[in-house]
Amino acid sequence: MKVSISQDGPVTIVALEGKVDTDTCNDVETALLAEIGKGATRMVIDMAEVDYISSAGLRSVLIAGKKIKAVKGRVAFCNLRPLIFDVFDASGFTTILTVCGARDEAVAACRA
Amino acid sequence: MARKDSAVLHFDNDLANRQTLLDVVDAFCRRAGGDEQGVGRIRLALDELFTNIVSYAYDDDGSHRITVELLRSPAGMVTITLIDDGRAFNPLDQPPPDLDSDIEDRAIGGLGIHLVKTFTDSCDYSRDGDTNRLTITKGFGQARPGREKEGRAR
Repeated sequence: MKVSISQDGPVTIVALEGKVDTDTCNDVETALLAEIGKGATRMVIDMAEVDYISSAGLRSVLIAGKKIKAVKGRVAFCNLRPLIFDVFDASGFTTILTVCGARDEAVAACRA
Repeated sequence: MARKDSAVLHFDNDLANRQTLLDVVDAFCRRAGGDEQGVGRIRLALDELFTNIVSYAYDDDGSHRITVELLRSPAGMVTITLIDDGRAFNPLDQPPPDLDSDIEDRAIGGLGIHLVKTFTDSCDYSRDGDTNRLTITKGFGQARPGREKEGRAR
């Protein structure tokens, strides 16, 4: 699992790469919470290079989503592969999280 | 058309074996005609079940054997059974997760078995002596749901 952080104006971009599962969920959670801890309230999580997510990974994503919601921030996901979208959808995440197509859309959703 | 095929695998109850199991299942389902998304779904189902067994099934810290039986019908129906000697537990019994409330009220966790049920064609549990048997099925190729009505167990 690789986590790359960049900034687009006020929006923090977190690009994940690899599998988000029992082996990696703690690393993902730690990375996301670290950014929130540093004051990030607008966050785009780019899943373009994520080829797998299990319930352990969903847990990390939900924890981060709740944290950002608690500070009245915004988080948007983008570039979900079909299987990842499937898992998000089956878990009811597509109704509680903002899921966009391209990164531009997600950044715009966070700026709004 | 894919031939009939079967395999029996044994793993120690260690999460370090998870990736090997998933890679074997992945290859098995691909040979049955599974596409990227279908194979990914079955991989996820197996991951959730194996991880649950290793994490919660045992009352001691000892080594236990988990058996995985793989069966593929000529039409591409894959049947996978996980057998463990942990305490009697039917994971399919747990109530469905809340998928409707707002993010603040959404429980963390409890999605694994829901994903197993969603992403397989069928799942069944039985207690057989001292073992738990959890069987999932998924149709690929000609056995894909909606493509062939006959010959399916439900």
